[in-house]
Amino acid sequence: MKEVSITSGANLMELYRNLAGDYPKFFKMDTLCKLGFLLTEMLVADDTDRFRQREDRAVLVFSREGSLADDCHYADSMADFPSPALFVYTLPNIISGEIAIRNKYAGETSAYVIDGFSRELIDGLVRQAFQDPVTESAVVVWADCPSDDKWDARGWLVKREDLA
Amino acid sequence: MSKRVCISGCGVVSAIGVGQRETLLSLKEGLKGLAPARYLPTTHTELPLGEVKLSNVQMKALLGIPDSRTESRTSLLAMMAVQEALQEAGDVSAFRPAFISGTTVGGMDISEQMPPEQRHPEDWDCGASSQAVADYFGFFSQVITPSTACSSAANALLLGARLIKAGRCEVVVAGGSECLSLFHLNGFRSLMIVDGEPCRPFDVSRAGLNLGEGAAYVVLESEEHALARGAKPQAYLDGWGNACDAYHQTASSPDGEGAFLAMTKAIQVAGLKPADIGYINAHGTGTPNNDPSESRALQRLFGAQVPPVSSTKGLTGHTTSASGSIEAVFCILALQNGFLPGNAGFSTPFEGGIVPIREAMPAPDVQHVLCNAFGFGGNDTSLLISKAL
Repeated sequence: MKEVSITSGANLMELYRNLAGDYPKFFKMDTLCKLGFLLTEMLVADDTDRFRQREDRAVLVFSREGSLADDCHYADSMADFPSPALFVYTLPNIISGEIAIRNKYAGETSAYVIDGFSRELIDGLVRQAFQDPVTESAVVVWADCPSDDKWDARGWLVKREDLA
Repeated sequence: MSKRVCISGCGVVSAIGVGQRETLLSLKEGLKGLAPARYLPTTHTELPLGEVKLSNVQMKALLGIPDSRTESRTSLLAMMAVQEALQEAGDVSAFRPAFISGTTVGGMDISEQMPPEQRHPEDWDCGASSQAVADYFGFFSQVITPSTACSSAANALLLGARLIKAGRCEVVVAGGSECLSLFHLNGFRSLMIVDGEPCRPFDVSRAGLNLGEGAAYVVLESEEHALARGAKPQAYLDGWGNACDAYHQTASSPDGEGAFLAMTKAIQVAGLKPADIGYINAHGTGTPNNDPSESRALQRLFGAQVPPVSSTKGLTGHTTSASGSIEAVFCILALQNGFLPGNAGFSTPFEGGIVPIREAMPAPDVQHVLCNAFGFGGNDTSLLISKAL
């Protein structure tokens, strides 16, 4: 199973240039989304037919704090004028949406808040997504980002055969 | 994998009622719960909001919580609805149920009432607001908080059903809760999708949504488990599907791809055909973008034979993360009582749009219904609920 991570505090712009470089929407994303985007780039770079719409791949995101860092940025903007661009990223599942839009995944997407990283709990929840009649693989992201320079970000790609 | 998932109890709190009885009356009579803000300290007093007609102080009194204790309104609404669901289901505490509770606002109401220097939003995040509910009841084995915007509660039911189906849990209490907050009222306003008038889903003149709040929970278990402990199935959760629209963060695709795929999956999981569906509780927000997209998805799935459809958001407002479970309970009440709720605010269809049911109508023969909940990020969920005989 392919597993990747991004060191806390790493230079995300440099990673973006190395991994993608052709997706300007990246610059609008909050840190949480940037992490999810980059983890997915690492996981699926070798996929054949990468940008053709597929329904058989799920994107499942887990965290403890959700989008808390961006929540604070948006709340600060409310003092002046609430920023729609920041508001969008106060939704923890925008990360799965960004990954799905980038890669044209029309499969299941979800975002769960749990009480801290637990591979056992996450594996159990990921397994349930394979009950879906079409799911054959899932991008799984753990991205906890309490502030813009501190995070725990890891991802892995699960295929149906890995569950046996 | 052959277990049928049943709903053995439900609880609901929204602008149209506290509890099943009031809610049923409002749905049958088409009583709207939209009114200017009474509890949310907003300056936008011109906006219709779907507030639950109880203050936090009143809810604490009903729940036996000391007034001095700080609790998020999201948690209080949830406690009210969970309590009703547990009362109907009977004592399930010995089975150590999992608690799956969708929310996106969480305890933001507490954070935004604090002076900035005293704010500790991490203490009032989504997980904390679910945990507070679990702690109040004291017997849940685990707490999981789906946070997928307006499909959060629907995804809680989807996950709960799968955990039952897979035999990983004997009993699950699943649903969602969301209180109104300045945080998301201002956010939705900044996206220019809040209507200053009562919303008009599927109408040609629709100009946006009204925000609402509330909570609803269901007790899920396998049919055999419910019967073995002498509980009565109130309805069945026979199908569920989630798909990503993968089009835009805050807008639905013109062809309703995500909605189409989600509904298709829900019907497939239930082992049914589109012709078996007797009603669809639409997501139907009343925004210029949602309703044509959802209409298109319905037309793609059902062709010329689209079953009766209504959006109940003209009664409750859009209860965001809680809408999936609130409207699922509306569907259960409709199936149990042989009627379909009306689509308040509708008078004239737009070109290419579906024509919803205007007012509540009798429908004693409907056996299977779909309940749609779509969230930003293209997160589209459909639940298939069947009548218990």
